[in-house]
Amino acid sequence: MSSEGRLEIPTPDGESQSNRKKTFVTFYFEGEAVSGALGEPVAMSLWAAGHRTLGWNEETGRPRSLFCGIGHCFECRMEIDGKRDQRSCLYPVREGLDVRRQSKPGALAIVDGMTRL
Amino acid sequence: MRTEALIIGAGPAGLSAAIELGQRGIETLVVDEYPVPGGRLLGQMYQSQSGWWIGRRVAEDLLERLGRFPNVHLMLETSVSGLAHAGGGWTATFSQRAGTVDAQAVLIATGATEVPIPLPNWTLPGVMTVGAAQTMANVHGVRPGERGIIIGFGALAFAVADELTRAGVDLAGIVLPPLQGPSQWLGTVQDQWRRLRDVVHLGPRWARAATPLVASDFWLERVMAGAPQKGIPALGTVLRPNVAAIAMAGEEAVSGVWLQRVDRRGTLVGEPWHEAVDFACLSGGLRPVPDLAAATGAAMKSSRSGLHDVPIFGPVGETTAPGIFAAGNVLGIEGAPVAMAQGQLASIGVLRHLSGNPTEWAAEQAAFSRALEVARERAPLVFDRAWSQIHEEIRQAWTNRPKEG
Ligand SMILES: Cc1cc2nc3c(=O)[nH]c(=O)nc-3n(C[C@H](O)[C@H](O)[C@H](O)COP(=O)(O)OP(=O)(O)OC[C@H]3O[C@@H](n4cnc5c(N)ncnc54)[C@H](O)[C@@H]3O)c2cc1C
Ligand code: FES
Repeated sequence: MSSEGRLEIPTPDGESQSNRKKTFVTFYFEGEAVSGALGEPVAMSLWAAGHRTLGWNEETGRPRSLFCGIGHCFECRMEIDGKRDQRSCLYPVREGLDVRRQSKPGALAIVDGMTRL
Repeated sequence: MRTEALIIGAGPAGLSAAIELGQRGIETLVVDEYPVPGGRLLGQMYQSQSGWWIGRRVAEDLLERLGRFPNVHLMLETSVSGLAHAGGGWTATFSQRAGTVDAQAVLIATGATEVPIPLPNWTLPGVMTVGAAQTMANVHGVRPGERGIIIGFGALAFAVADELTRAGVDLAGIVLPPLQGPSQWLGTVQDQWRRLRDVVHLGPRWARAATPLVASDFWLERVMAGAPQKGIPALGTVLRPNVAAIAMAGEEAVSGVWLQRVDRRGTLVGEPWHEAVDFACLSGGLRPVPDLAAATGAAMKSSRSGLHDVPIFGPVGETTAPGIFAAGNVLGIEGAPVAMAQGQLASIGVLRHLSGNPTEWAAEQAAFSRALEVARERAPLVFDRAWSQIHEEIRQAWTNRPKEG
């Protein structure tokens, strides 16, 4: 799966532009092992592995994913190593990270003092 | 933590400023929230008159030069969330880390952000900005999807179409954004078509397709409105200048896009149809990120749409807030070589602020100003023609600003 989701960055003038050698490590997405390049943002590894839903909108329950890819929109917020609301498009992959989606619909959530299903 | 100069943003503007300050012995801290330094340089790759511009290599070169100065420190994965005036200098606070940094001078080089295009179902996974697809493919070598579509005409849309198709990603073409409804700033259909003029000179692949078509409004309108529905081959894909995206489709992720023909006036005509895509790139344009500058109390020039809000700035990047400087796309949307010259100029502002001598480094200032002019003349991509006018107004506003007593 992970190689299908990867590209060779094109080499317009013959020289490789992705000359940095990548080291792949394993981290956990909802408890499932995922391979990612060390230091690349978590959202990138997840996307390459075919995981597109990174969480759910707190209000609507609709799936959310990466939108801007550079830390501006906060659509990619995830729980990483127990810390909520981490922007997964910025957060670099390290061996063994525990990455989880937030606000799963149906999970009991307290919003503005009201309990909702 | 304390430093003489704090630079927020390790893009071309911030890194160029840091090199100048490093050379002149200033204790400098550069912070960036991204795990890799280089800012938007990292994804840039296009042909210009002087050959290929490969931003990652430019970034590597800047970092290598920066590495020679032990007085310059780079702190990544660090977002600056606030700047407060304190004891003659400024205190920066961070969002993910504890602690603060006190600096005598601060350079804001936080760059630009993309303007979203809110069309129905645009929050579905797989709908992203065109810059996000650029970051995926060019920076991280991640395939955005099997077949995508680019929505919105503009320099960045065209550049990214070229980059994606070179990387072997299949595109259903570049179509117009919805031109009716809330996205007023996208302009008229003619405004969208005219954006082709900003890029046609870019090398053979671009020019072949478009040069003769875009020179006059008369021909532009006829050729664009009369284009075949399947589009005009360009950039490894097709330009579809009389087709607009009106909604995204999908349940858990995007599975298609609803398209409809537009006529010469931009009115939707005929029946909409569905095309299957598994990703879509919105290209609504770029705007500076003015938040940090505004938070310092620096005088801002605001715009009706909010898309052209920038601090009023002087010749060496000084703002009206003492000790706060700005450089790069935070001052207006231009290419990286312009940002680099602006960073160098702002280093002069920082040096003068630190020494209290407002006339030193005059020869360097003159050289950097010339470099800025040259970078503007040679700019391969023009993002938004409004900026030259806005910068002229800012020059006047700076000259006429109320001076402190
Ligand atoms: C998505 C996108 C794609 C672009 N693509 C192209 C292109 O293909 N070709 C082209 O010529 N120009 C492109 N541009 C224009 C680009 O802005 C300029 O070319 C140039 O990179 C601007 O340099 P800069 O140093 O001002 O800002 P940037 O290069 O944007 O660098 C700003 C840096 O500041 C960091 N930052 C921002 N806010 C904070 C904060 N609060 N705390 C810490 N760090 C922060 C960011 O992580 C980033 O690294 C693009 C711009 C965007 C937004
Ligand atoms: S995708 Fe926009 S902040 Fe992460």
